[in-house]
Amino acid sequence: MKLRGKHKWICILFAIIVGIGFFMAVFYPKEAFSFSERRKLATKPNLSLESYLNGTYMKEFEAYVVDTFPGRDVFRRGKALWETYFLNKKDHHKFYQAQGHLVAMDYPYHPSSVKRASKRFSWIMKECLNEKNQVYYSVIPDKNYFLAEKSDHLSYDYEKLVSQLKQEMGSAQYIDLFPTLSIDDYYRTDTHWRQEKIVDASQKLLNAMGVFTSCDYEKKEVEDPFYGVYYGQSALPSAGEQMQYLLSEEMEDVRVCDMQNQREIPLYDLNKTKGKDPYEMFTGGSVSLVTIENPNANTQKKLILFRDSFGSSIAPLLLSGYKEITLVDIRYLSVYQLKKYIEFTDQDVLFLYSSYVLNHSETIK
Amino acid sequence: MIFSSILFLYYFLPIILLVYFITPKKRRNAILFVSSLLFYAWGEPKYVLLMLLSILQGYLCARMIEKHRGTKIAKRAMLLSVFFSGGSLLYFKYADFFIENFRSITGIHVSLLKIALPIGISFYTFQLISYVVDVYRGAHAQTNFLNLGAYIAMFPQLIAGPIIRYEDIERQLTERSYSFEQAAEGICRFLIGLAKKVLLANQFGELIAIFRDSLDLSVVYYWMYILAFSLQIYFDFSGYSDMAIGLGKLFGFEFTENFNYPYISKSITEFWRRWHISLGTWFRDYVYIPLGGNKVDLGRHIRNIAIVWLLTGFWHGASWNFVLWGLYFAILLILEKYVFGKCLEKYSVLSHIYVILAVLVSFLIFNADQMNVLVADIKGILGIGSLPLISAEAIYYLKSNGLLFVTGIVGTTPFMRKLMEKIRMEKNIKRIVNVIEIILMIATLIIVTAYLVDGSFNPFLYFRF
Repeated sequence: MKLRGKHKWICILFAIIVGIGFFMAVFYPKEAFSFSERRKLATKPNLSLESYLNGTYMKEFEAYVVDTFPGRDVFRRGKALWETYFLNKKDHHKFYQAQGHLVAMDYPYHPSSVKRASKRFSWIMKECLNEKNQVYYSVIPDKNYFLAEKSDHLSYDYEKLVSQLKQEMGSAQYIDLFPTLSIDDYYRTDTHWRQEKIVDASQKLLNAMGVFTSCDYEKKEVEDPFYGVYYGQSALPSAGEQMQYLLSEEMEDVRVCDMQNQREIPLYDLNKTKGKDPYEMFTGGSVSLVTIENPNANTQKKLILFRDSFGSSIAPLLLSGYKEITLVDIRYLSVYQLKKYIEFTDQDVLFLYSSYVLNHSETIK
Repeated sequence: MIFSSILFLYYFLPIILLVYFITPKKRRNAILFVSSLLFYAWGEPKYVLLMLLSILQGYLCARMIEKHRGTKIAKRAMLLSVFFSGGSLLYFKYADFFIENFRSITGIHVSLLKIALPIGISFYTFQLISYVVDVYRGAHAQTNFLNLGAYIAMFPQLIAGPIIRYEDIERQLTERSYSFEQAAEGICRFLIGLAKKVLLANQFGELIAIFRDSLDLSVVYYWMYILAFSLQIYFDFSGYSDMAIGLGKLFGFEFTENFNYPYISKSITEFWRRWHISLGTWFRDYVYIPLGGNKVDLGRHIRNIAIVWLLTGFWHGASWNFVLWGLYFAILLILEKYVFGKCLEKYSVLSHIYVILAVLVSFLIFNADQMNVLVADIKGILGIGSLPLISAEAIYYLKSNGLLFVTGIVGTTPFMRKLMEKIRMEKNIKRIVNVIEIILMIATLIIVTAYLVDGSFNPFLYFRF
């Protein structure tokens, strides 16, 4: 190609790309929600003199054009690949791939955050519970615990987190799940554990709480492939995976009630597997207060489970030992409102939280 | 609005280019002026009037200077305009700095004005001063307000330079040519600047943000930080200059160069001939030489250097660290001139090391907005205190960003440019190279777009000056 031709081609191609970009950006239908990022996309702001003069219109408009740029997911994926495979960066937006898993690099350790969480728990123990309540707590390690060191990524000392909790949780009894779990117990593209892999963890919790029952479960498969939260957030490529859930005979008669919305819900809502977050299929997903009644239980024991999203999937596996389980998510319900909705009598109480939530407890109310 | 944004690349630029090129040549300055006002109004809606007023006073004063050339009226008009431009810069940029210092010295409480700094004011006021002074010195005043407006407010260089001298652009305002060659050069230059900003400067910026939040500091981590900041500021600012020069070419203008591989300098004197050239030239022509330059006795020469560098430092920001930064360079320049300048010429490698270290330290001062931060940074670099030599976090980010650092360091040298020139000389592969260059340019645009779509970390460092 001659120099003159080169100059022409550069001009023409630049004009074509920028021109197509313009037409696509302006006329291409806009999405309101990003399924891959699991968030609402910015919408076109309304122009007013005030929003123009204080600059909010411009800020919001720029967010809107970035969020709704055509091919956003493809560009995000391209950038992730470029950084990972060309620049050889060890993480992309603090996500990395190791042993086939997408992992969030949770680092550094935030003792103040753990303190904040334990203060909330302590407040509940002091203000809501009584001497008849047996109180337990446990920590679910995030995937970084298993993979960071092996894959040369940053991680903090999880023992520090646990020992801090032990100091701050008073007489509550700690149940150690760390040795029970392995990386294979988690979804490859998601932060959560797999329900079908945590039967031993549920047994460990039950045994520690003085319940010695066993249950046979039947594995069921979800039809659609599961792409977890890290899949979209990291923008790194990964195949979908099979999602499974466990059924037992006694689960057939359970009654699950979403107290937040005052409605009965299924224990496993398969419709949600087609939605923005398939993991919400377990016991109502991210709702503040759920009760599960088990009429087939051979016991009168009740459990109050203070939990994050990990608790949704393990709760059905604890049913064999309890007549009723109340799931409380204090990320959506203020601890100061608890007495209004829950009658604390002689239930067992379990605080079950992932290390990630404890290390970023600003979401706990 | 910033160049490295989806809004500019895929909304503003295509519309303006289309309108500009379908408009008859005679009206193109008007289009440029109006589009520049729109560009500015997007980021600074309140201060468009201030800029228009500044341009208007410059226009009227210059006309008056020309009309009364050689008389006292001309001098007064020139001083009036310089007073207006300098005064607005002082008021908007430095008022709170002076009030704060007045308060701390006297103990008298005076409320701060808390005025937001108008974007680009340091650049366009300097252009206005250069215009009026040039007219006073004999250049022709611009009779067409739109032409002057297009020069002062021209969006490619409005926000962060280069500071274009009126005499360099006067002819181009009325007679400029367009060609595929010039446009292609402009596009390539723009894309190179865009890549410097988005693919390098912003990445170093992210690394610096991580360092500043870290609780796992170490001596090596401090060195990584200062290296990253030196590379960030270079690619940020030279990237912006490249984009400005490239856009200028697209619109038919030839702007002066602003950077010339400053990090390969063998002395600080040379460094400042290669770094922010348009600012250095401005201070030389409008401050240093009028003060007598170097054609004075030793004492006055030292004074002249000190004044120019204190002002240069102060121009960068209303904060003591910038004053200290200017003073630091003044001392080095005086020492080079009168003490060890000749030694530097003899020892090439040592002089390179000296420049790099001196510049790294200068950026420690530059980026420390508070004295306690500066002291902590200096202690960190020198390993004073209980800091470990290296930490897990430092190792991780060094490993993770190894290629970024190598690319950055190589990018500060003319290595790639020389390599490309050599390859282009090879007749056999010339055509293939041309095709590869086109592909690289397009790939750059696509990769940058991917970063812009995905990223949110995008501030230009020089916008605050």
